[in-house]
Amino acid sequence: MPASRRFGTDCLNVKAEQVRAASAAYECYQRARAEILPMTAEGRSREPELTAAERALLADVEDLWRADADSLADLRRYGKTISGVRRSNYKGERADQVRLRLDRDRLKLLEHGDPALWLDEPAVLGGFGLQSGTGLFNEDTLRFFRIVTLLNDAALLREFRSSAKRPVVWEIGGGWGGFAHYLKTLFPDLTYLITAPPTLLLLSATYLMTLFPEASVRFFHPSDAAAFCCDLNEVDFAFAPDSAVHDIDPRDVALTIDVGMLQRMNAARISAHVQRAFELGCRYMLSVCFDEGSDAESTVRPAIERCYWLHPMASRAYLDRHLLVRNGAFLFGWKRLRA
Amino acid sequence: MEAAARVSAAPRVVLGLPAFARPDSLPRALESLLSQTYQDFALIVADDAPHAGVASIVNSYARDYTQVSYVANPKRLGMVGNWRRVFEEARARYPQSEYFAWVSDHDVWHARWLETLVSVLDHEPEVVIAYSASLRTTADDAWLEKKRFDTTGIDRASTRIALAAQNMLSGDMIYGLMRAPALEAAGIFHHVVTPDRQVLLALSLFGEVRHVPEVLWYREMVRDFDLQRQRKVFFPDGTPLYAYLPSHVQHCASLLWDFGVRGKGRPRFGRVAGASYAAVQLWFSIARQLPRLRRGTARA
Repeated sequence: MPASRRFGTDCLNVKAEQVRAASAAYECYQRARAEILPMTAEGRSREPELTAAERALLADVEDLWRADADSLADLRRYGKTISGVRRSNYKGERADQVRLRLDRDRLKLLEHGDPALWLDEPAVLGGFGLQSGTGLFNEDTLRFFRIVTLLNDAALLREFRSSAKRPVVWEIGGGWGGFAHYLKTLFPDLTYLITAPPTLLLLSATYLMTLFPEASVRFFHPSDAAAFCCDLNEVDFAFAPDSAVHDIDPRDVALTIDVGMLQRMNAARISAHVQRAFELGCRYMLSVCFDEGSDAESTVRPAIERCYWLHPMASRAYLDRHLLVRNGAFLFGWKRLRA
Repeated sequence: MEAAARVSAAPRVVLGLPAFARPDSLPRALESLLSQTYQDFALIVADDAPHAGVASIVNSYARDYTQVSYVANPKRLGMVGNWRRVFEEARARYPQSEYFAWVSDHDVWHARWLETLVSVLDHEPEVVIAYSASLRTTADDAWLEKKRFDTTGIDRASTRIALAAQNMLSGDMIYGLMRAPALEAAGIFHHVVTPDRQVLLALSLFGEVRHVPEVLWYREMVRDFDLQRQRKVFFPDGTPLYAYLPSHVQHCASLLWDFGVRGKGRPRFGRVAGASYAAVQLWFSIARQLPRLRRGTARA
């Protein structure tokens, strides 16, 4: 077959795949929406005090409640409001500048880290980025690889590989579902719990349910809080509103992770989340703040240090050398016996 | 308190912590030990610079964790004396314990450190020391130690001691988990310089050394090795003249005395073999030193 025809066929296949994914996403969206909507009604009575940053983020995602199949085909666009990584930077002239920096970083990271822990950005639902040779990657992909590399360096990933006791990973916020997808793909045998404001849950639940169509999923029901954590480690994904953080009592939480959500919260909410992780007996906590030295990081750090010892691998020089962290902070801690 | 409830009266492992005026780092070190996934251990803290801060920290943990105990030395013993003291306490209190490890008052251990090393010693009877890879840390930096030393599969004691004399990483290995009876037979910390090397050389005659590649220990590095300083802290009552001899000569003399004269290696090996091992150690230690001496001369 001539190259031009083959290219045309490939394009058609990709298009067809995208249409299929959008259609599947819409079904997942409808289910997630039906499950999450009651959380908003309940949440209103116990509405946490949101900061301006949180309100702005939720306002950007708010129109997801009224989504149709076409708009879900580009679900990934919501990621820019969460991590700041936007598709427009990967197109046209800007793409050349981005490529120069990201290609170099990717190669250096792979040199220091384990290439087996690399995962491309999924192309469906509006995935974007530079070509890595095997697929797409962008700044979010590099950030996720850094996180997993840090966990690997700290000898934590072995716990996710052994099947003796299925661990629970709790992500505060969940973002657009990108890190959950990354970790769950690498380590299928773990339960991934996400707590967030309902609007944000709708985003991550739709994304994850579309990418893991076979996964077992559980949603928090305000009328039966106790049932949520019953045999929780038998499900793949669990979603609960952050107003219910103190009502849920998951066992075997091996790791609590935050990718840029704590930094948006006020001090009281940050402390409440960290304290809850501590009370649940979670041994490790990792928080990624996008802006190092900002007011946000200076609020997150002491809250973590009250309940967790900062891990030796979280030293600035180590992070700079191994993970090429030029901005942002990786606050990684192991649980104190006394908080 | 869940951890405390699981401690047995006759623990399989004893951890000996020779403390010396580090109340700043002690809580973190104690918590990382008490957070181990393997809990059948006792922890003895011997304080060589009795310090109200250290005593109150240890005792506050001892109230909640019954495996922790504190002893204060009535007179300063120095580093060698305190390392000996903590081992002797361990043997006196828990004579049935199988494994022993020295731990410091300033390092941090991964939660699976002890579980992993116990598993090695449980499954590999020829191994006498198991130690893990480490991350070296300072206040604002951390880097991986890439060197490793391992003698698994080497049956001949003379080969093991020759390799140990040339390549061992005594500063890392001395914090490994050891078989307590083998350590007792090897002799605990003679009053020589670099006594950790001497113990490990002797111990290599009783079995293999196993390196675990996973980083399970975070080792605080305060300063570079300094022989002058070592003499000062090892001999608080004054440095004896023999301590100015080259360390490998001191080690050879102590190996010769223990195994060639006193026959402490029996029944594993006799006096003649013991004397020959001391000579092997001396030969290979000199061989190790020669390139350094040449480099030093060239620089001069």
